[in-house]
Amino acid sequence: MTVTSQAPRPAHRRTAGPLRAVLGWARLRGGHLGAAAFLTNRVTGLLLVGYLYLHLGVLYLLTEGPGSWASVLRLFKNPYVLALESLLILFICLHGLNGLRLALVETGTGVRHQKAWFAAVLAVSTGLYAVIVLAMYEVI
Amino acid sequence: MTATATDMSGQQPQEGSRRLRIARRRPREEGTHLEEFTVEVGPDATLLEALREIRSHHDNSLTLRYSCCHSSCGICGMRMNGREVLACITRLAEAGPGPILVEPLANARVEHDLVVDMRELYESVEPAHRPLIRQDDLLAGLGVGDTSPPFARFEDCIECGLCVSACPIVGSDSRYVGPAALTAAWRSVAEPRGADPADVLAWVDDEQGCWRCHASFECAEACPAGADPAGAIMALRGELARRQLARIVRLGRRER
Amino acid sequence: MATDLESQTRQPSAPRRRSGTTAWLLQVISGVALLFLLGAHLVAQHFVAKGGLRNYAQVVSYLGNPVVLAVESAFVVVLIWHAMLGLRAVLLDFGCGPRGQAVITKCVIVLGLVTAGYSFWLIAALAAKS
Repeated sequence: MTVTSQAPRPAHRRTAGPLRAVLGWARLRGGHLGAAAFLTNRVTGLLLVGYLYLHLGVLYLLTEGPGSWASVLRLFKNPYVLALESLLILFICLHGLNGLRLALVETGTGVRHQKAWFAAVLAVSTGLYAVIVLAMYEVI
Repeated sequence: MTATATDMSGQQPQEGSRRLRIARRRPREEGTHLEEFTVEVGPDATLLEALREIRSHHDNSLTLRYSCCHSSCGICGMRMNGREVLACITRLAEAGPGPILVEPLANARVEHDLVVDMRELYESVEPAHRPLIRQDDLLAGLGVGDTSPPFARFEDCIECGLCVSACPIVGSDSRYVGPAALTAAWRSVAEPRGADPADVLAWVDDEQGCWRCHASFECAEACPAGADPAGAIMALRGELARRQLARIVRLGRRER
Repeated sequence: MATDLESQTRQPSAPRRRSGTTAWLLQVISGVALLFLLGAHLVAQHFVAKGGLRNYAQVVSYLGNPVVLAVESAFVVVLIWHAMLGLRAVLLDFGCGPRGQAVITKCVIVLGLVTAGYSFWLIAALAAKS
């Protein structure tokens, strides 16, 4: 069965501009847990890449000797900096555990339970985040 | 609807009015605007019934597609409050209170009001060469055997396009073949009927094929026919991954 | 029938591409490896030294240990690989077509090499001070 069409059809093109298309990745009105998982992974992944370069940049100060590095260490006594760093742990947990879920689900293992698994990812990430933040404040 | 229906107890069900905000667009024009209509409907009214009521008594220029009115033909797909639905089987009550936003399907070119160009979808499904009649265990289990004419079961997918509209990736990359095409491909692989599924697998084994999917599962949530596009895509990936690993193992053995 | 299928996703003149399975398998393997390598890195950096963070002298002596050097190097390589594959996946979703895809892949490879180069220079510079 072949589909024939009389009227000319526009060539393959995006149906929306690039900004609208990217906003479409965040499925808010009709969205379900799976879409939230996709968005979470994407956002945390990009933020973590950003952090990677920030981290590599800060580490450069190590080559400038003990004095420069000591000023970096002083920065880490600042509670706001610590709070941001703890967020980093949360992002790593979310991205890592959801990644594990994707590794299984994307080969057909447990596809039926994918929503439950994401709920578990959220729960475990929050739990781990709480534990690690407490440990951080113990150690400092 | 102005005609009322009585329920079993003989009492009149409560009528109410619903506000519908419908995305209007004239053919070959770029701009879309929202137009609000208020319809008097019964509690079980479907979106399609409300839209036909608008056409009959408010504005007969409102353009939409519908045919079978029982979710077989897949032609009345649209979005209600951002959610992909078949208008013929979706009750207005599912939208909750307040005004209801009615828009055409996403990720397809809007032709007129709620009508979109479905050709891209239909053509995307073609290369899978999926036969329309399943060879299912279901019929064997029913023991319908020697009756004449024999029973047949059609493929689940009704090519309604709800999955394509729901997919966040199709919106940003129209070269992605999309969940409908991949579901059809999986059916060809799962039921090859003596043909070699390698061709279909090679077709989907592409950055624009099944690997473009990012597992948001919105397609499966939207599917009104239980075709499970997400499951099909994951199954395709599983099959491809298995074959790739087998190739690697075979290569390793040959070199020894 | 084969040309029917192929015309759907690539032009006849485009070079034969590697299967999409490879990129995905690498992403999964590097991701799982990172669960361990990143975990080890975080524990080593934040729960061993007193006060949670190493001072300059402690960093230098830490990197003087060859086992540490090996694990941290592996960590850097796998992390950059995973990050670049991920960046590439996000960029490809913008729908740039087959040529755009090749450009994105090349850019990401270059970025990865530059990042890895800088990282190893940093490690070498610090290890040399011990």
